[in-house]
Amino acid sequence: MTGDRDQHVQITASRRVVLHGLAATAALSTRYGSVAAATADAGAAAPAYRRFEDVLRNKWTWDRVAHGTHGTNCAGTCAFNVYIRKGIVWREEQQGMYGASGADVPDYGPRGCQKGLRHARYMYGPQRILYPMKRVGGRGSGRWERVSWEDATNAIADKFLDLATTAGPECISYGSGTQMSVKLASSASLSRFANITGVTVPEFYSGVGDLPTGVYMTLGQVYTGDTMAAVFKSRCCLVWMSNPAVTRIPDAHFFWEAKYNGTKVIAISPEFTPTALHSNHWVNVRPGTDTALAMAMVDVILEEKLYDVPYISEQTDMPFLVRLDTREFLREEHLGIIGKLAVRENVYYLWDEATGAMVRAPGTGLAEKPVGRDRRRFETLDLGAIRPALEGRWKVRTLDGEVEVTTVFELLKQRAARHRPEAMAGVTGVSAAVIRKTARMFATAKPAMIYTGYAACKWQHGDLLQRAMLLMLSLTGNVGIEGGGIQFGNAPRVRGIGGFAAAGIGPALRMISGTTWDYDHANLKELNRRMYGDELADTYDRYYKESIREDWFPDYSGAGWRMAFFAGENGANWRAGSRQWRKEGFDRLEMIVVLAPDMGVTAHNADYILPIAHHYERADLMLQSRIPYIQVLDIAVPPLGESVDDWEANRRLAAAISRRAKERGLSAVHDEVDGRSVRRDYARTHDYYTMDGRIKSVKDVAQFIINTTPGIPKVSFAELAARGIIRVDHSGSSAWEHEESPYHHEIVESVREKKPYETFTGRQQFYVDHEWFIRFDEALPAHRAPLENQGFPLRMLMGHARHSIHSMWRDDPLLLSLQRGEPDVYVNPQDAAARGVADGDLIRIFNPAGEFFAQAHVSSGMQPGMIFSYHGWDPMQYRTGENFSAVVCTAGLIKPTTMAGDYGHLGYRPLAYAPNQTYRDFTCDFARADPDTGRRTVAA
Amino acid sequence: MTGRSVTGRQVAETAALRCLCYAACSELLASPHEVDPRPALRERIGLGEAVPHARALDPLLAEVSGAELARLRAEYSGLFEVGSQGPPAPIREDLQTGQRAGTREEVVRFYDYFGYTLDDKFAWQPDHLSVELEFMHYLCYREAQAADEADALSFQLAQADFSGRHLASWVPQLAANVDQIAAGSLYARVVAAVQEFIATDHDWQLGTIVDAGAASGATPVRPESSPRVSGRTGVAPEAAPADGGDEP
Ligand code: SF4
Repeated sequence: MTGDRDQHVQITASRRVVLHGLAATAALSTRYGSVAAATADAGAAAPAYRRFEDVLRNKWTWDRVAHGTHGTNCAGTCAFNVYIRKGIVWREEQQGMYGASGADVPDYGPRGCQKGLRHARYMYGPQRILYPMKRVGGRGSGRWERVSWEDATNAIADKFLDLATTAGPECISYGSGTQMSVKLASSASLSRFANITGVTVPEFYSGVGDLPTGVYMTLGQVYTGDTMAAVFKSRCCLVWMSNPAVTRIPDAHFFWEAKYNGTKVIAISPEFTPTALHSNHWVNVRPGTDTALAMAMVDVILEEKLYDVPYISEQTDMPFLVRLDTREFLREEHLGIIGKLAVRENVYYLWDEATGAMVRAPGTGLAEKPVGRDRRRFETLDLGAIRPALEGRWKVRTLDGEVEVTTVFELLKQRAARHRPEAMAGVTGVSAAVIRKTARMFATAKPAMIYTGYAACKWQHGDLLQRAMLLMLSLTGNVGIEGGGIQFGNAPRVRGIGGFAAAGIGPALRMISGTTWDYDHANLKELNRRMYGDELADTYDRYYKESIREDWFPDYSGAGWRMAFFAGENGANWRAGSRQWRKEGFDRLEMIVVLAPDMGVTAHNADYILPIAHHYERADLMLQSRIPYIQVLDIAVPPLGESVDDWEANRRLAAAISRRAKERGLSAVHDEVDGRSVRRDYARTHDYYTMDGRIKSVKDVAQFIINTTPGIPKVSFAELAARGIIRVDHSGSSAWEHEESPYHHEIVESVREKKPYETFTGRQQFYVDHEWFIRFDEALPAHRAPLENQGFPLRMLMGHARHSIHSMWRDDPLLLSLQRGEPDVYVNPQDAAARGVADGDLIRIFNPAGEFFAQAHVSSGMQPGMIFSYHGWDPMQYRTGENFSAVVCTAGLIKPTTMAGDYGHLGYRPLAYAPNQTYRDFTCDFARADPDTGRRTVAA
Repeated sequence: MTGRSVTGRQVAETAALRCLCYAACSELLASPHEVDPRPALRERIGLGEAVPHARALDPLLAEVSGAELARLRAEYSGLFEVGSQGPPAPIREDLQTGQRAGTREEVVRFYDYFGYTLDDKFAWQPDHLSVELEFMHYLCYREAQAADEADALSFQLAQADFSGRHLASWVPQLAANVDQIAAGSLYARVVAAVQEFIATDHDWQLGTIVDAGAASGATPVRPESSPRVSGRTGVAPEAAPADGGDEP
């Protein structure tokens, strides 16, 4: 006690008069809570308290244990118990209640990871957005004011109506990221809101470079993965472009249990990953040369006749005849005038060795555009008595005269021969002996699988890699069988989402590839010009425009980009043309609205932020393909602060739009979506959104989805909440093979039931004779060297991190303490030494696109010539406010063939066929930096 | 501890006045977005006359109760509630002290023990400064209403422990934080005055709980489990890890 204080700490009798006057008014006044009447009463018995330990004596009990998980894009959907006391979530715990897919297969539980187990604390962390926020300083100044929901939504609605009724709703984007989209009811809510209002939805699947266009080109499907138990059933598993030990923590055990069960687990990656550490073999290919490696293994499979003749004869286009004069498939339209007049471009031919004659290929003919689903109903791949030739050349009479034809298989052999292991050793850095050995291990095991991640889509020519991977699988008869196939994630066919979006109002959703949206609105042609030169920029742009002119892909460039919503999407974190996108697009927006649970760079630059409930504060459903369970998100505690779930946030926006439209006396406007006229009556937005008040909460949305989606057991949401997880229908095997399951099953079904594929040829289609593919010599896959920036020798790779799911949890203090506490970049020791860099030094990573600063993490796990950064680090965590995307300059690389159309299954199909935003075709360099760099310039 | 008694203070007078002081502090630091604090604060003007160590509150009671609500909201939220990397000066103990394991649990145990239950809307932030101050207000109220001396002692010891382990321990840090960000601003002055009141009152509490079992002359005792508060920027002596272990 200080002497100073001693003078006035006495409340003395000399002040008695004043004291009594005020004391008389002393009354219990509680604003935040209440006290039990019995304890508040004057003279009531007090709980005896003598020392602090007294408050610890009472046993800590839980008021409630709720079921939940983390509604983020980890693909984990791990069942958790969430422990609640006094309105607070204190901890979570994994549940071990899962079964297996097959008697001798490991089960799916318990599931979890360290991020999920931090969430009970993270949700109360400083990064949390708790109240609607309005920017009061310049954009990005960090100066904010809390405002009411009403004020925020009124201001947003006014801007929305200004634009929607003048320029049209098309100029307003509503980007939903994985945070929202993986939660079924939230996704349905957004879809309904977008459907009603007409905003443009730049879909994130291609927008973040996750769309496996090569798989779609080949199989007519993008969703080809099975459950994780399928890994255990494979006998050889190439883990390629994927690092499940880090990114699939709840499921990684399947790989290691498979290994102990005799499966050969072979990791293929440039860097020595934690997955490589645990695998039987590690093939360290040079960055960007994976297609060369795959095609070299294809060559081995062909050369050593390790292929499965009956399989490829029936299931693939290998025996289809191709004209050697035009390199087109031989089609009925080539053979006679009737076929030509009828444009019979969908009838293909084989050479039948049984009869020595050309025959029409079974399963071709019908092809309702664009995907030929009628073929699946009415036709078969069954060859019957036909014995298709795989090799040979024949003369065929056509309308153009006699032409020579051969098979796709023959052309493939020629193409593969350009990738002999000895030649590819120099390209890939993998010796010919290792290439041959790996190819043999793979081709002689059955079933064999390629477990790949979305990194396989992140290269400009990722489509060629996927096609080459599928060649390896298909030649060996491994596509569409349990334990085999290319294991990208499957995606649930949640009919209830689309159904809910359109219920009572019809479909008028404006969805566009995020890649083309950015190309149009961030002037990415200019980025291409600066980074890759005039020729590439002009060529790509010419094809881009031609595709739109031909109406193969929609044009949403006309109305401009003037306002943006980002919902559960931290778009300014990861754009592959960061500075250009910011300068030419994002920064020019008239209004930016972010809906998110946590702060990040996108919210930092917004005008309004709306607070969104976190994982344990909301009701929703999760359904991912890797485990056959539907998982509940239950409301363990009410949303913190003034946050609300996505359904409610959109409802409040809808209400404000209606309210302001009425107040402004706005009448309905006409809008055109993909050629259809749509009437938008904004005064009725809220009525439409809530189905005239029948949908009262997100639980009603969830119930709608349960009721209308095949494969989801028909239970009440309340029952699901009580149980936590429920097994989905038809999930006895580890493969999704049943049409009544909630997942895409078409590929397995095609193999088992000989149903034609949804490709132009009705087969697994390796040969694409679209004129653009022929022009770019990509009718069959081949290795193409990745692009580089001249004078910059290092290739930067990236991958999902162990300690975050995208940018979520990236800033958690404990998780940061398990790393280096700040963003780091892995570099090879030789590269570091050549630049005078030691481990832990601050380095500047730079190229013509920009620069960022990070700590050097010197690691012999990196090859010379490459650097590696885990993704998700937010720009706000870097010294100068710029993250890795400062040097990623690939956003404008829209590969012409990925915008090809008018070719059976090829042509714009949202979430299936659209150009990917890619992230790898650039190079950079690094140098030691002054440790004080940027220390004072970090955003407030 | 049985020797501790309350003979060092005039309960009837001091508890009621301190009860008002803590109510005033709680209202001063309540979010003006949740409730307009001004009418209640107007009623408290003059407290400093009665309670010398609350004297610094008086001008602020007048200033806040006379301020535009919009100004209060803007300044309060910009400091305590919203920010690009979290609020510049989080007004929750848990955040000010680095989300240490056990902080909120202890606060909730105190509330539980004395029957103070937060409404659903506020339950998630038991460690909000305004809530902790309201709890002190409640403990003082109970002291004022105590049936007997032993009963009063319970509330006095609880106040001293709660204040020492929590308010007096972390509010100096908040005050320093606010002073650094917004020196001279209305809320910087409010936090400084409240911090001063908390610290002085804590010392006063310690000096007025007397060990009756000691030799005549009754020696003031410090509740055993109260961490010492070092002056006006006091910090708890326990070196807690930045992030240690789980909550319960
Ligand atoms: S974050 Fe994902 S993987 Fe981790 S525990 Fe949660 S649901 Fe499972």
